[in-house]
Amino acid sequence: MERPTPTEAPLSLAQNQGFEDFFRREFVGLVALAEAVSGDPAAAEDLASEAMSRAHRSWPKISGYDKPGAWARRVTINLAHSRRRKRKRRDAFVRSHRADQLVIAAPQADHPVWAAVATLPDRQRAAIALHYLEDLPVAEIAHILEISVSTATSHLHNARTNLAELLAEGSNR
Amino acid sequence: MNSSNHTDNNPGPEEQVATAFENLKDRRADTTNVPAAYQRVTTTSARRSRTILWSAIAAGGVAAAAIYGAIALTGEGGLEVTTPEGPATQQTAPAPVPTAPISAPKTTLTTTIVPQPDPSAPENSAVTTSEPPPTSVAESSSPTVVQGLMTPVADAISISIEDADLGFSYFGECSIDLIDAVVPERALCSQYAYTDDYGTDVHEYIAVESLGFLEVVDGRFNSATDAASLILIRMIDGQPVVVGSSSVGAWVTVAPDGAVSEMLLDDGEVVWEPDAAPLRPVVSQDVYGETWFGVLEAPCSPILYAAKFGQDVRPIGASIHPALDPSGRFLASLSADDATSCTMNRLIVRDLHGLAEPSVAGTFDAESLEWLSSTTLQVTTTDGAQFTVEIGADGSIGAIPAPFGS
Repeated sequence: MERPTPTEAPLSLAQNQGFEDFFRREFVGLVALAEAVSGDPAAAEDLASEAMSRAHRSWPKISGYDKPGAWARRVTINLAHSRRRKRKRRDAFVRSHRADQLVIAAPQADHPVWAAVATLPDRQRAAIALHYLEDLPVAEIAHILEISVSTATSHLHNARTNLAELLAEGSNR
Repeated sequence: MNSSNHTDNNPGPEEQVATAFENLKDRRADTTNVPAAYQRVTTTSARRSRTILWSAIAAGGVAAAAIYGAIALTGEGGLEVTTPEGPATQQTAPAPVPTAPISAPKTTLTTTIVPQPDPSAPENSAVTTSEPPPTSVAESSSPTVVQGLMTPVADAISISIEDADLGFSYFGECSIDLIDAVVPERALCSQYAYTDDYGTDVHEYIAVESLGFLEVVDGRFNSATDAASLILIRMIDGQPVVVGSSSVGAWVTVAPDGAVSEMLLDDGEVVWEPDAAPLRPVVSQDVYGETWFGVLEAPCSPILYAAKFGQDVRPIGASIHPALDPSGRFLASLSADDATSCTMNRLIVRDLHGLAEPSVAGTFDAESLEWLSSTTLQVTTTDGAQFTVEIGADGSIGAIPAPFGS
């Protein structure tokens, strides 16, 4: 996927309309995807908004893609991963330096499925989210995640296996 | 996963997961105010500038030695670090509008090292290093912009990246406690990068500390498009020097002898640690004295990453049982046609210096690969059988003997 060039010029009326249609079509899905991948319901809309903001700035280019929605999903997933990393690192930092200020809560941890999803590696989580939320074929998931189809298959397989084990463990307790 | 034995009151894992995602979709559809979000996004987007404020703060324990720098991204992929006048003042520098095509070939990385704060100042009493002059280093090729800014020695380093225009911040604190660094080469420092205006995570920033020999590579494969973001900084004569960047994320800790003591993937997941068998790293110095490594993500998850420090890191793909030839030029591995069965039945030999990637299909399920010489590879199958194949100078694979060859 080519890297879009941000636009400096205002969008034309037609471009604006195109972006608005795109936004209305995709935004809710991106929010759900952001929540599933980041594990943070409170941040989901911000993440999706950030992805859309980038799409807006590069809309003349992105609108020319075969699947601008795939680009937006990839950005959303990247942003969600970044957020998780950042949180992880901040938590680690706080843990080691400011234990008295330590407040770490997995936002979705009270739900067994989301608690299990949160334990998956990033790419497994992204793959499973795209699978369940978007009902995408493996080839499309691979395209969005920039991995081969066999790797996407592997991630999906591993994610489902891991989730099954985690949920089975939870129900046996 | 067998869900047939589950009733509606006791759904199986598959149903639980599907239902949870379905509920998530429904909830978001019910609660998301799309028109308001649209207004917010378009307004924010129009206001946004590329001004990025980078500040780096060195602070540790009781010490608070601080330096700040404003870094301007240039269209050519260069980077300018501006040394601040004082130790506690943030400075901003608007980034010029990129003038070169983003997809242009690799660009040059330039890093300016900022001098340390005055160690004699009372507030910097815990900083014990001398004060070197500013050093400019033009190094390596890089597909994108990177930066390095740090104090050569400090108790800890904290780096923050702020978008001054929007008022939001990314923080990437990291800490290297040199005092407690019993095993210095494992003193990885945390890091963070921001995603640029192109929708691409490009700048995994680096924080590195050294006791004279430590090298930390940092970066990740996290690209909305085609970014690259592996960065290697070496401490050379007490100075951090950016020596390269790469395209697939990994944290790597390297001992002076070139051994990889730790490697993490871009998502922070530990890929391999010295005691974390059965993941299989391969590390080798090639004929030019450069270190290559490959590592498997998981025993049966056929993803192999290979990297040459300071230049390139790339996913090799569906491979397992990697083995470098004695010269470090060829990486042999096995590929599974069926990722779920882990049956390895395709031998691949890659020339790590960019030549052809020939492969030959077989029907064997291999246990290991071993280079007997730079031209002879021995394959041991899971049932104990062995055969050798000859590797040509161009990486071509000779005939696989019956009954293994196809």
